[in-house]
Formats: sequence, structure tokens, C-alpha cells
Amino acid sequence: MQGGRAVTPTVELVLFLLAAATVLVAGVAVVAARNLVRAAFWLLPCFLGVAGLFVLLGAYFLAAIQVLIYAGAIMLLLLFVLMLTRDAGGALAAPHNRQAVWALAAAALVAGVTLSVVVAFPWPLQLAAARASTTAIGEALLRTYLLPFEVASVLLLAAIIGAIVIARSEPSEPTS
Amino acid sequence: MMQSYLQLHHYLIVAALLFAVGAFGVLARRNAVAVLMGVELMLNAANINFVAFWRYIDPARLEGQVFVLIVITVAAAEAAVGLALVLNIYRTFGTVEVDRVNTLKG
Amino acid sequence: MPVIWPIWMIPALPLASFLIIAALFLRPERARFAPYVLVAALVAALALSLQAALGLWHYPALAPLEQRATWLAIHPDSAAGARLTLEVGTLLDPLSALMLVVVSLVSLLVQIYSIGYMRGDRGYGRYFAFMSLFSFSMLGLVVANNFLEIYVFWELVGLCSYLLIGYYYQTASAANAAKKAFIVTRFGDVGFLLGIIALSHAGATFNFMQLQRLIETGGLTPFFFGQSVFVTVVALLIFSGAVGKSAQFPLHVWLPDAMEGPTPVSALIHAATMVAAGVYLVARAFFVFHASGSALVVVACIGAFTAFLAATIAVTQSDIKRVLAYSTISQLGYMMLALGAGSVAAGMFHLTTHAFFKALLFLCAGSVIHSVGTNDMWEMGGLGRAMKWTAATAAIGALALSGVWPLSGFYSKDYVLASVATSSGLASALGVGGREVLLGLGLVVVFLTAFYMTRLWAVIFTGKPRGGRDQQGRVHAHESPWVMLLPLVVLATLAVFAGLLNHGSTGMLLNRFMGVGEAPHGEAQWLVWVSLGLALTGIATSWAIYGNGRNGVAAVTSAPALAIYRFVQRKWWMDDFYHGVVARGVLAASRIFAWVDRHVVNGFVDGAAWLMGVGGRWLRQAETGQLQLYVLVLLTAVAAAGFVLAYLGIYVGPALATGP
Repeated sequence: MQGGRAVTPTVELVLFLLAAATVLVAGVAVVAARNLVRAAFWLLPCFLGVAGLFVLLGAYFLAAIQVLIYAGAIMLLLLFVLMLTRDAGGALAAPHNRQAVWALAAAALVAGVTLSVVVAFPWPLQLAAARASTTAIGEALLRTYLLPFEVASVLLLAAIIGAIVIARSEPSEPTS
Repeated sequence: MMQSYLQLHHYLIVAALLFAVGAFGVLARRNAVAVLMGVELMLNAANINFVAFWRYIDPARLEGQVFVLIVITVAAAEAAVGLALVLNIYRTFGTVEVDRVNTLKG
Repeated sequence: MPVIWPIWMIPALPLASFLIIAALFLRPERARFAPYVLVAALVAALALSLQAALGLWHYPALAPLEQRATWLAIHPDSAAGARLTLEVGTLLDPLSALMLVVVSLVSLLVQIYSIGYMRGDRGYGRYFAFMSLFSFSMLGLVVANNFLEIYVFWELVGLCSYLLIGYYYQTASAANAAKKAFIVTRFGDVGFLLGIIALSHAGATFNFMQLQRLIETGGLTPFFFGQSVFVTVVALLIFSGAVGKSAQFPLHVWLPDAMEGPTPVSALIHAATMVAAGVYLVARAFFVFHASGSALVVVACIGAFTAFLAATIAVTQSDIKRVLAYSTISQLGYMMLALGAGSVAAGMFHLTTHAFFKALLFLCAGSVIHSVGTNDMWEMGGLGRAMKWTAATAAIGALALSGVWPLSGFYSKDYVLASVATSSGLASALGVGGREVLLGLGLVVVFLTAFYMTRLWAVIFTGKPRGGRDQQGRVHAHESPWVMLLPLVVLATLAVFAGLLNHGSTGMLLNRFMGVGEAPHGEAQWLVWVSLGLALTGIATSWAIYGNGRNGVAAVTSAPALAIYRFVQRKWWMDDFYHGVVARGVLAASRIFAWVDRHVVNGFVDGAAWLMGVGGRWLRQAETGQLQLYVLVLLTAVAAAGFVLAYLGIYVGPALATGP
């Protein structure tokens, strides 16, 4: 039994399948939807599904963060920009470009290679108890992994400033 | 030890498929924002991989989770900057269709 | 110890003459000094040649006198291929000494004649320059001591012949004749070169003396078949060069056309010296032929047949020089016949006498042509009155050529026939009957020769003038200046007395000089009378038909006779054959090659260009500026790399921990 969770293996399997299906179906919908806003909204179940997978794996803190940041912030940002960049006749334009077939092939190739390796390789089967409390993560962040933490902060700062600068409305001639 | 029907490769399969889907989105979508959506999907797939490996190899080592946190942070920063760029492009070119933004041509 | 000056000086003198004339005397205003340079060089060369010959005569033990200098030593690594040395050097023995004297003497006389003959011509300087080059080449050929060297001079001589035949290059016929000469002899030269290569490869040397020793002691290492077959093949290859150069069947077709050149050129090059080079080569390389009995038989047969063929054609020609050209071919056939019968001395003797009287005849013809302005003998006639000296010396030449006693031609021809009649080599190869056939051909040629020579002389010098009249009806033929007559007289004297070279009264001087025994007359005494009789009969018959202005040929009207006449007059249709078969065949082949060149070869080039275009257009797609394309390529590459890593086991990097 995993630490803290009292589900039977069978239930666990069902939950996994649900989460996986959600992730994948939603993902496909994101990339296939003609309507961009719909596509953006399909991201939500996808992210939630990923969060579910994190829960199943015992990374509860991460699942929370996933929901907060991805579903909460990034998706919203995307929606905002979609609103701000409405093309005339955007809903009618074809969603995919001319190399869609090649893209499909390349994606399939990637998937094929990865899957074949993943399935064939004898992975370790140990499933130890997960001891990843939020406290522990917080301590790790501020002790062992302080540097990446700080750098990430700086990165965020730079991103904020950069985004503001780039997105500032300055007069600029359209070149197309 | 735990009893579970789920093994590492199950999660890896999901992640691989999600990655491929995201890749298709990056490559095949016309709208720049849609491309960014594809990027997010790919990042998520990577995250799933990280967490799965963390859990199945050595859950005591927290690098797995920390890395995922960093990835999420970076994804957020990247989304912010990327979307700012999209806005800029929209202002410059009048469109966010990737095909039309081809001044690098030749 | 006599002092024999270094032999290399003999060819060096005309070479110096060539360089001096080319440098100083080519322009028309200065060209009149050119001949004297050459004459001086030839006088000196003649003096040196005589000195060498006399030296050998008094001290026979000196021969062979060889001087050698290494040009290039080749050391291949393999143990099987021995070291091969390319050398340059001179060889003096009775054969080369005799040839040196003949060549330099006749050259000198012809050049003196040319001073008068070529006077007023724009290319005067050019003429003597080329003649100097020719003399250098010919003398160099004579003194060469190895096959490679003789081949070099062989080609040089061919080049000079080309230059001099094409002297009047503004005329299409002359230019074509020069090309024809060069190309036809080229066929022979290819075989010659192959023979040289084969022989030198088998013997690891080009040198005559060394090869002779090797062949006689069986030390040759032939690389196919056994020694006897190999030697036969090599001999025949070498002979093919002689066939070309000495205008034997089937490569004789160039010599009549070569008459386009100035007459002294015909006299020197195409009668006395260059065409004799083939005979000289066979004599020089006789040790190869001697080692293979069948090669000698081939030589004899080709010689006999050529003699007959050319003699028949000569009977029907109207151009003076053509008659003499075919006569030359015929007599060269005689020399080959003699060599094939096994007698080098007979062949060389006839070469010597022939050089004198044939050069004489050509110079007389030149005299006539110079004064009358045409080559066609049917436009001449009765010139004997106006040109007494020419007519007299021409008569001597004609009689000598016909083999009338006591002139030189009689003795040399007789010696040739005698050596055929008593040749054991020919008898063993062809049977006595076969030998008799060759002898019979030789005798028929005696008759024919006398016939056509008398015809020539009679039509030109006797009877009434047929053409060449001016307004007042007077014939404007005139005798030549003394500078042209002097060589005629000298050559006539030689033609008369050269028979003494191999006469009983001088104790067979030439034979002793060349180190062979007495003339093999033995049981063939009847031969002397038969050949003399034939010659006289020929003269009489011809005189009856053509003498004193008659033209008896017009009376011949029967169809088969006319058919034969036409066949012979068209040179046995050989030129037509060559043109129709060989020339057309080559043209057809070259059309094919031209097509291949245009479409296949050019096609490759054009195709490459087309490929470049297509490739460029295709590659340009890497520069579309469309980022998604770039990402696609990137992703595909990564997937492929992953595939390679996972499945092909190709990994470049630090060691991996394997397994769980």
C-alpha cells in the first residue's frame, strides 16, 4: 500500500487509465481543434489529467502546483493573448499548415522510437513508499537546491521584464 | 513492497504519446498561440516522465520533483515571453499565422 | 691507329645547318645564302663518312665501333623486370658506313642541284632548312645504335618528308599528299613500335648488339609462345615499319602522291634515302629476321609482289614522276626480295646503285619539268635536241635501271636474282617451286622495267614535240644551268661505274667490306644471260611501240587488253579500295564517336548541370524562413538519432551503465 492512499491496485489501475485517457484525448483535441479558444480550453482537462497522474505517482505537491500554474496561469495567459490577437476570419482558417502530413509522420516516428525503447527495456519494478512531503520539498529547495531555486527566480524576473518590454505597444511599421 | 498493476513503462508510454501529440501541434498548427499550446503539452509530457522516474527508481531522492518544479517555472516564464512576442508579431505583421512570418526566407 | 672522328658529328653537322638556316636565312632576301650552309655541312659530313668507311676498310677489326651514353636508367622494383636503360649512341660497322657514304653523297649532289632548281621560289630558305633537318634525321637514323633511337629518327624522317611533300602547301593536292604519306606510314610505324616494345621487353634492352647476342645465344625471355614464334612476330612487326617507310604492298600508296613535292625532294627522300631506310632497318635488324625463317620468306614474298605490282602500274602512267615513283617502289621490292632471300649484301648493293641512278633519273625529270613546265610526258617530245646533257644522262640512268651491261644496275640486279635463285632459306620454306615463282616474278619485272623506262625516255626525248610550243611554234625547252647539270653528270658517272663495287675485278669489294663471301652464282650462270636478254627485249619492244614519236598503245583495242590496261592504270584499284573501305569506315566510326561525344559525354555535363539546378532548388527549401519546417527537420533528426542509438548499437560517448 502506498503511503497515505488506501486504494486497491485495481482501482489504481482504473484511475490511471482514466487520467491517461483524459490527458491524451484532451491533448489531441488541443492540437486538432479548429477553434482556437476551444483548443485553449481543451488544455484544461489535459493539465488536470496530468495532475491526476502526479497524484497517482504520489507527488501531491507537484500535482497542486501543476493545477495552480498550468491550469490556472498559463492557460489564462494563452486565452488572453488569443483574445488580443483575433484574426479576421480566424475561425475559418485552416488549422493545419501544408506540412501537416510530414508533421504527423515525424511525430509518429518520435513516438515509435520512444515507445519501442520504453516497452522493451527492463525497467526496475520496485515501488518504494513515497516520502515526499511538502516540508521535505521546501527544505530541499532552500538547502540542497538553493542555487537552481534562486536562478529560477531570476529567470522569472527576467521573463517578466522581458515580456513587458516586448509586449509594450510601441509604434512599429508592419513589414508583411 | 507495493502491490500494483502499474509499472513504470505505463507512465512512460503516456508521456511518449503526449509528447508526440504536442510535437504534432508545434509542427502543424498555423496559429502561433496554438504552437505554444503544443509546446506546453510537450513540457507536460516531460514532467510526467520525470515524476514517473522519480517514483520508480528512488523516491527518496527529491531531484525528480525539484526538477519538475523548475521545469514548470521555466514553462511559465517561457509562456509569458513567448506570448509577448506573439503580441508583438501581431502588431508588426497584422497576423499571427506562422506561415506569413517568413522574412527569414532565402 | 687511324683517327676516325666521332660518328655523332656526322648527323650533328646538318643539324647545325638547320639551326643556322632557321635562325638567319629564312627570309627571302637572305635566303640565297641558305644552301651554302647546307652544302658545307654535307661536304664535311661526306668527308667524315668516307673517313669512317676507309678506316673500317683498312682495319676491319675495329667494327663494330659503338659509342654509348645512358639517357635514362629505369629501375623497376620487381625482381622479374630487369633494369631497362634508354641510351643514345652511335654504331659504326660496314653496314652503317656504306649507308653513310651513300646518303651523304647523294644528299650533297641533290642539294647542289636544288640551288638551281629552287631558285626564285619564295620558300627557298624554308626548303633548305627542312632539307637540313632531313639530312640530320636520316644520318642519325643510320648511325643509331638501338631500336629506340632509330625509331626516334624514323619518326623525324617521316616528319621531314611530310614537311617537304607539303612544301607547296597552298595547293590542296600537296597538302593532302603530305597527310597521306604521314598517315599511311603511321600504320607501319605502329607495328614497328609494338615490335620494338616487345623485343626490348623480352631482352631488357634496346641495343642492337646486345639483342643480337641475346637472340643468338637464346638468352631472350619471350613473354608469349616460345622463342621462335616470338621472334617471328617481332620480326614481322618491325617489318611492318619497313613496309610503310619503303612503300611496299600494301602501304605503298603514299609514294606516288608524294611526288607533289619539289623534284629534288622526290629524288633525295623518295628515291635514294628515306625510302631506303626501310631496307636499312631490315638489314640492321637482320639478326631478328635471321632467327626466324618464316619472317624472311614473308619479306621476300612481299618484296617480289610489290616489285611486280608497281612495275605493271608504271607501264601505264603518264606523269613522269609517277612513273619514277612506281619504279622506285618496284626496285625497293627488289631490295626486300634480296633481303628475304637471305643476302644483306645483295640488298645493300642494289640500294647503293639504285640510289645513284634513281636520283639521277629524278633530277633529269626535274630538269625537264623545270624547262617545259609540265609533268605530263605526252605533252613533251623531242626534247633530246634541246636538252642534250639531260637526255644523255637520263639515258644512262634508264639503261642502268633496266639492268643493261656494263652499267651498275646490271650487276646489282643480277646479284639480287642470283641470291634468290640460290637461296636455301627460300627453298626450304617455299619449296624449290615457290622459290622459282619469286625468281620468275623478278625476271618479269626486269622486262617490265626496261619496257617502261624506254617508254619514258623515248616519249620525252625522241620524236617530235607534242606540246610546249609558244606563239611562234617554237619549243621553249632549254637546257638547265650548270649547277643542275653537274650533279647529273656526277650521278651518271656513278651509275656507270658503281657496279665495280661488287665486281670480280675489284675482288667483290663490297662483299669483302661487309664481311660476306663471294657472290653465290654457282650454278646460276644462265641467270646473267636471261636477265640481260629480258632487259634488251624490253627495250626493243618499247622502242618499237614508242620510239621516235610513235604511240603504239592507241592500236590496242581488244576488250580484255583494255580491261587489263584500265585495271593496271587505276593502280589495281588500291587507292579506290583504301578510300572506299578504310577512309569511309573510319569516317563512319568517327560519326558514331561524334554522336557519342555530343550526346553522351555532353549529356553527362548537361546532366550534371541539371542535377545542380534540381539540387539547388531542393536545397533551397532549407532556407524558407519557415520555422516549423526547421523544427520538423530537427525533430526528425533527433528521432533518427534515437533510433540509431537504440537499435543500431552505434554510440559515441561516455560509457553507460547497462541494465537496471
